[in-house]
Amino acid sequence: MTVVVLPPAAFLGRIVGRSAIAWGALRGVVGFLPGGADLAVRTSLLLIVIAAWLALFFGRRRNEPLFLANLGVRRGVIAGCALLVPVLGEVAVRIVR
Amino acid sequence: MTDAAVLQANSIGKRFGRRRVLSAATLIAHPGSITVLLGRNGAGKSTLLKIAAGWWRADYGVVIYKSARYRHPRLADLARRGLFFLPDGGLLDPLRSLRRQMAALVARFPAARARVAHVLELLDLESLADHPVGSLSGGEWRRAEVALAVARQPECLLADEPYRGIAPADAETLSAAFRTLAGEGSAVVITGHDVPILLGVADQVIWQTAGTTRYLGSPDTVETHDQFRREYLGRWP
Repeated sequence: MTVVVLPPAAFLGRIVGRSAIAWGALRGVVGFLPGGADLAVRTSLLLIVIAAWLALFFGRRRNEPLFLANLGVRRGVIAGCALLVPVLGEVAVRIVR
Repeated sequence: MTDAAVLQANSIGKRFGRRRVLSAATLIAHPGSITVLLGRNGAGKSTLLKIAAGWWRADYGVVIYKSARYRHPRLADLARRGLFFLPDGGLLDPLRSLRRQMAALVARFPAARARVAHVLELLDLESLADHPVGSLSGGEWRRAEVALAVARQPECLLADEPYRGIAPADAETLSAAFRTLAGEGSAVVITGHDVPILLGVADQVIWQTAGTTRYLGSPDTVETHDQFRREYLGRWP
């Protein structure tokens, strides 16, 4: 049985916070572009991936993946945490519109 | 050596592009023992350690950790079972203090709580523990990383070049920490190039050359190994 270990609260907050900031910033930038108010599904997916990647990239600069791996947290779980806010954000935006 | 191996990385092969770094390398770590892995630059010591730790994937070979066989182990899975990997390229967050990062370790492994104060004293880090790790010197930073590993009290510690850029007095402190861990029953594997320091702390020596590994035995016998002297130490006759 695979055990899913989440990052400690402080790390979880940082990963989620970084991806939220990245997604918010990307959404803000895209919103100013022509047609940015109503994104295609493919563009939304791209925003999600870029926001999560940015969150992971900045975490890697702070040695987060190795530190968390030594605590038993898999890389896939960290990626899942980074995807959380962008995915929920895009879903929420689509529901509101 | 007190018992059967905790960790075995058997017949490991790894290629980067056209360059084959490891062809049939083997690493064995015994509880209560310090194993030193020596080899020239580019011999693949770090690669072998990363593969044994489950941080990198081998092209072939198998890792056996605490009797479980892994074709492609993951560090997170091995870490849950008591392995700790101390990389060469940095483990700690430079923007956070050691104490906060120790707190994260304790949150995950509560048994480490009772060891934190002792470990900070052992590695002479009490006055530095509340400063951001990025404000520490290279030697202090390395001691902080070892402190985290010792606090975890792993069953197997793989440390990649822990003595690099360390002053002799700090090296003694690190050696004492590794001896403490081994004395508590941990299997410790260390790589590096600081031969006198490494041979001073080793129980057994493995020499990595030409993509493979050779077990040289105790540090006392190493100096009498002609090929090792000639090809690694550079002293001949």
